[in-house]
Amino acid sequence: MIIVKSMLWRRSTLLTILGLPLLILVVILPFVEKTTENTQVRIDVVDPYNQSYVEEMVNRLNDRESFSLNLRGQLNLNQLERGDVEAIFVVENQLQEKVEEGETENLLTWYRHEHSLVDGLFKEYLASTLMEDIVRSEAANIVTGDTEMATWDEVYQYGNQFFRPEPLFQMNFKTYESNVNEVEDSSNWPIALVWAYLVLIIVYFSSWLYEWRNRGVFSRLAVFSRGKLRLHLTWVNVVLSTILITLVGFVGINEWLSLIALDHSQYGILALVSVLSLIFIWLLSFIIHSRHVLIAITTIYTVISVALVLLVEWDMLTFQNWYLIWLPFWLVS
Amino acid sequence: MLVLNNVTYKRKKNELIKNISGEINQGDCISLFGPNGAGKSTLLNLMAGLETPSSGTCENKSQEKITIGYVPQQLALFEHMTVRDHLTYYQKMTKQTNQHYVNEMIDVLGLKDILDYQVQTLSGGMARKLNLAVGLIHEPQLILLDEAFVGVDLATKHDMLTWLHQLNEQGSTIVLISHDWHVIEHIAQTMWVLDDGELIDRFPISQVDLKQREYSRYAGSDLRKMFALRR
Repeated sequence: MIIVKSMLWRRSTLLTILGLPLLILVVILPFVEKTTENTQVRIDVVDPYNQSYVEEMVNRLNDRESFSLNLRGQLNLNQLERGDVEAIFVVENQLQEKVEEGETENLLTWYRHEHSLVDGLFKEYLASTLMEDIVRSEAANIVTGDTEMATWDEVYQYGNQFFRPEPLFQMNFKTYESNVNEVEDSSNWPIALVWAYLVLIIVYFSSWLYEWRNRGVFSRLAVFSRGKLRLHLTWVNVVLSTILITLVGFVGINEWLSLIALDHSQYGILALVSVLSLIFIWLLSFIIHSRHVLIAITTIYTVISVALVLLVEWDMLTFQNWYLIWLPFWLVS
Repeated sequence: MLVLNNVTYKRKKNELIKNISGEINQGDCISLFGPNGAGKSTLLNLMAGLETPSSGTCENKSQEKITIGYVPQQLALFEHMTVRDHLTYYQKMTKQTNQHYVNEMIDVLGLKDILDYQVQTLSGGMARKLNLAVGLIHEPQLILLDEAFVGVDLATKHDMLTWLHQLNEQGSTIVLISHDWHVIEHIAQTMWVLDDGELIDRFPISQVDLKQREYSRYAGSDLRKMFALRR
């Protein structure tokens, strides 16, 4: 316990174990918030005729936080293909006039991708907004006598049509199917960075092994029964505990903020790979007598591993089985 | 207690120790003396069991296992631990239950007032005292000191020698490496002179004057210079 305290209660240790993740979190959080913003349903409204009524309507629709609306002048179906938007609504010319005349059909064309999920919600919202205008226009038309006078029953039936069960509001509907091969959204590469951070922790703690060796602590302990072994085991326990606590913290934060989509088996592999890294670096410390050489070797290995993972994840390199000698591939392959 | 039979030690084809034989008995206090590179530290490591002889044997001739207290040349201490933490850690590791002995050692070495000091804040002399205390905390039968007095002032040297003298009188065996004539003459009973890995001479400390005159004839040798420094 005395050794554990002396290892952990050091400014540089606290900075490495607590400060660095906090710093990373502070850097990552704005991106997480941005991602949260991006959970809004992104919709494009295309008005090729630049109508002021449409602009006003989009402003009204934008009041709802669930949707993120963009008003554009041209239809760009590539955005649907890339998944930049959930759906595109193209408005017809003279929309305001048609609404004021009470037209409910073919005011818009709705483009959606086969993978669009929640654009239907926006369609309902758009329809209800337009229907509000249509009903109010119709009411105004009746009151101001713009329409021909009719009997009470005729007016009643006319108003009732807006509440009949059939779809009141209809629009053209087109499903957009992409010809491009679907690219699976497997953004698991950040887990390689988590592993790299754990390697950094292990390398940081390896400095004790070298310090104890250079100071002759191991030699002194060698004259006691299992003295040297005990100190080694204490070191392994401290580093292992630190790794496991860090992993638990990472899992908690990841589950809370949904940073990386990982299942339980991947968490297990991350723990396994981290423990293997600990054993490798520990064994290396017996062979390599210079701490700087150990740092250089582990840094080169870590950087190459992470770089390869990124290249494969970004389709700039094809995965090959021998890449499994780089531990992060165990996490992402 | 410990018998060396033609002990030879090679490292990377270099013969660091050449056919050394000798006997260390209980209560002895032997000073290994010689120039740098003579093989003193290697011989001490062989006695401690930290190295294995390439040939020959280093045997314990007593019936039971000898407890060894090894005090290395470096300050083999944990930098961020206090003096108290060190003593507690080694006391637990060696299962030392004789608190009276530990307290007496703390008193004689003058460690009482610095128990809560971290090693990194200790003066060189205080750190040397702790280095010695840690190596002797388990009341070892054989005490091996590798230049344990380097850089200490006279007061510190006094405390350390007093404690070692007391242990030696109580039956502990001491083998020390030192270039300090004051230390050697204060505590050693016998001198083993090494040069280039060989044990070239051994004599009781009472003969040191005679040996000084003898070595003064070795013109140009390091040993002549070392003996010449003795007044």
